[in-house]
Amino acid sequence: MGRYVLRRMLESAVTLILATIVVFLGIRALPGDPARTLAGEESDPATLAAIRQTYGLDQPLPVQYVRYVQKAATGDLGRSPRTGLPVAETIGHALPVTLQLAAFAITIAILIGIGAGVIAAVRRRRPAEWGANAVALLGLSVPNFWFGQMVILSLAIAYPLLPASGFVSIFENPVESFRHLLMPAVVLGSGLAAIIMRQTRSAMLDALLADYVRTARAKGLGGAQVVFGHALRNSLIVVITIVGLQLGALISGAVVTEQLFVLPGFGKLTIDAVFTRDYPMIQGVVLVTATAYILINLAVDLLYSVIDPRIRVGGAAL
Amino acid sequence: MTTVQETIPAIPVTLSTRRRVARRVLRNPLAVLGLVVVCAAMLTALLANFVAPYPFDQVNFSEPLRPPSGTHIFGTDSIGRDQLSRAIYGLRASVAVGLLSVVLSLSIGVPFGLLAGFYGWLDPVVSRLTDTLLAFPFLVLAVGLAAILGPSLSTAIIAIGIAQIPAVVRVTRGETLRLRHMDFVAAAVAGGAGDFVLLRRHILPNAVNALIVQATVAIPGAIIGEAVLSFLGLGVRPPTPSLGVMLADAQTFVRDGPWMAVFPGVTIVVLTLALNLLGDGLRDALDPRESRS
Amino acid sequence: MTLLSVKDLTVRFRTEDGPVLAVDEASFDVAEREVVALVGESGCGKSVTALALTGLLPRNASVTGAIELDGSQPSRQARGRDIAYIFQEPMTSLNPVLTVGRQIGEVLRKHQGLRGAASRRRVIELLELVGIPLPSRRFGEYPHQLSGGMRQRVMIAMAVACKPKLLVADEPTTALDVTVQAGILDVLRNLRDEIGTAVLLITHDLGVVADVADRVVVMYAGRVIEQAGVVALFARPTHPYTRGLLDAVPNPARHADGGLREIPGRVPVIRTPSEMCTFSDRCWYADEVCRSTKPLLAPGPAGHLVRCWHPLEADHAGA
Repeated sequence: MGRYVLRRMLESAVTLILATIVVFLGIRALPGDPARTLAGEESDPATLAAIRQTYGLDQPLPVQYVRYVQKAATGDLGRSPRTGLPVAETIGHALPVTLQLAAFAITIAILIGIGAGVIAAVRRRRPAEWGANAVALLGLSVPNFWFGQMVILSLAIAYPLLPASGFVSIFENPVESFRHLLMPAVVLGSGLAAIIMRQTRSAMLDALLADYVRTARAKGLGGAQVVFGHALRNSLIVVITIVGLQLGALISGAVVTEQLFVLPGFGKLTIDAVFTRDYPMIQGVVLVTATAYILINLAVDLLYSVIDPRIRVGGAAL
Repeated sequence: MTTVQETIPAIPVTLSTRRRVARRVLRNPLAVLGLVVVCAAMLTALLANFVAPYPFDQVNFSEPLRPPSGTHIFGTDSIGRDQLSRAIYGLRASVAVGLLSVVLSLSIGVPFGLLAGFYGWLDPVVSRLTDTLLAFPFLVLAVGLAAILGPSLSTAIIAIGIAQIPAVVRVTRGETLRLRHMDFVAAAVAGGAGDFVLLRRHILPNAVNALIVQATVAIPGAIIGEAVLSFLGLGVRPPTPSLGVMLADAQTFVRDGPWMAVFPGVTIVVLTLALNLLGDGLRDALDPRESRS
Repeated sequence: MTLLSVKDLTVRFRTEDGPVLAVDEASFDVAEREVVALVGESGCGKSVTALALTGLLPRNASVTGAIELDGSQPSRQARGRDIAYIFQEPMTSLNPVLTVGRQIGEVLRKHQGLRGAASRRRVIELLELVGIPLPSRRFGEYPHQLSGGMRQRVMIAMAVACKPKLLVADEPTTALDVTVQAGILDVLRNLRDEIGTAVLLITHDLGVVADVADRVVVMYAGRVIEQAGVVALFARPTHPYTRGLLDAVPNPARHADGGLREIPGRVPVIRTPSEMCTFSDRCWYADEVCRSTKPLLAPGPAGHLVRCWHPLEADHAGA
């Protein structure tokens, strides 16, 4: 187990380094003077000179890179030419919004996804399975943002039940927070729910056909016991992997959802940055996203190894 | 049933196998429905010039925001453009992105996957590269590309294509690893086949099944991806019509012209649903483990 | 005392490629404390027969015939309690994410309501019974931590936990090394002696049959074609197929002259009940009668029950 953990951490480190290199070079790939890119379109020579100094733009690339990484590691992601505020600070304010949204969405997705998946697997060839399959299929075929638009149309405009935009933190006012986040969370989680449902169903079907399920039945165990005690347990491993893999999609989804529901989160920040040509912000956002993604994946992998005893405890004659 | 686990011998893909797969697909009514709709969509996209009742950019200030009617089946938008025609042309962009992005991801992903699966020492290298690529979620990647290349249809195609590369590599690599140890490969090696011939003529054709399955998932995703990018303004730019752009316009007028949001969305849903049904049908037909109980 | 009575068991499967008749009116008995071997090539229907006893077949199977355990039809409750199974592949037949102790404990809990410390004690007892060293340590281990032979012993422990009347062993040693095989067979023998379980042993390995069985039932293409005591069967095989099976076992003395003998052709897949002897197209001695009329299971020249129009008379050695 120790070796596995070490190996994974090493791999993640390498990936992280590569990712930072990509981000670093990305900005440099823009046409024009890097100084101007980082300082903003209309900057005076003094600012430009200062930027050159800070980022060491007259130094050779590798040196620039090291400097960039050093600064990033200490939390200095530069300053936004648009707002004048430090990038890291702005991101720091936007993250909690997105995190609350994401947490809510994931919870909904897991509850619905696993529930529907188990039902579909167990009630094969019966109406419940077709129903669940149809819903999952729709979940995959409907674009998030359109679903969001329809939801807004029906639940906020046609019958004003929920607010169409705005954010309230759960720590300030749980009820209002719930009202504001419900639609976005459902919209964001729907895609993930569909995927979880499909994978759960598929994994459960495989599990139910497996030899050890036959053994369980031969032992005289009843239906529910077989489904939950044996088949589902093994399928959960798959589900965790899926959720880990879908994190990227979730982040993408958050960008769109926040735009649609006007939530001042990380995603909206990203889009705004592109349209205002706020390159330090773009760079910061991309870097934070990539780092978070790599770290979360590492965490999921290690969690996976804890849950699956085959990885946790080394095998004898495998 | 019987406890003896029979290993399925690797029979190199033959014409009869393809025919059997095709027959299985056609036996599945949902898949057939999907196939019909997809073909209809592609035809419409190809023949847009002939099918669309109005040119997509024909502005008509005397008929702004008209709900669906006899003359404008999908209604009009804020400057009087016929929504149906725009949707038809928008389909074109969707189809183009769906196909081209997959072609892009395959042309880069497959070679890397083959190499990674075949040459053990290359595997970690390719894995790190794909992990790096994966570290950038799709929209973040698209944002970066849009910043560098400027928003356009080609940017969308490139962004979506690149985002799919890791999946293609993973599938190809998996198949290569699996096939590499099979008897027919050993036989070919014994017959003196070089690496390149092995990969091209033995391994690749047998990996195609898995890649088809991958494509059936990727194409609908690509279409939705294009819509998302255009919606956010990172993809197709006006005046080029795209279903995503139409939905973005709809956002502004959602109270006065709700149909503007409904129809383009429904078009996307129908298309991706059909693709997913077809894809499911293909997947079921290709999977030898399918038990008909 | 007859423990298990199987009469005219017929199993049909509905498959994508058409119907399959896996078992065709098979009948045989197992007496208390008896080890009966169900023998035949792959695909002859022996495993299907075994699974049919407690309804473990998939949903596309239809089963007809009379199965009686101790005079009455086995209920769902009988699974694990009166009839227990061990399967061929211990690795995939055990749940990889549950400990050994937990999996054996499940059976005890279900049928005897044992939990906690009492359950643990009994599980360790069972592990000892099947000859697993350091049983208290094995209790908390996972299947992949054990060797193939030990996993199979665990399966056996699970199976005999509730002292079943009948143990159905489906190719228990096929996936194991020959040296490990002997150990497993010893365990089965001991169990028969200590607990008094009858064993229905399914195998295609005649060596195992000779080692452990009391009686042998030979199946071919879904039909029972010969039944006899083990010594009698080996000494005087009456059905040409049985003869062929025995001849096919490599034996330096007998095969010194030339190659191994095999039965030409392959076991057919039977789709509909046929009115002929299903072995006729591979049989050395087949004639028109064989190809047109289904032979009945009846006592043959050596006293065995045999299904053949031309059962072999004494000694066709070297034919």
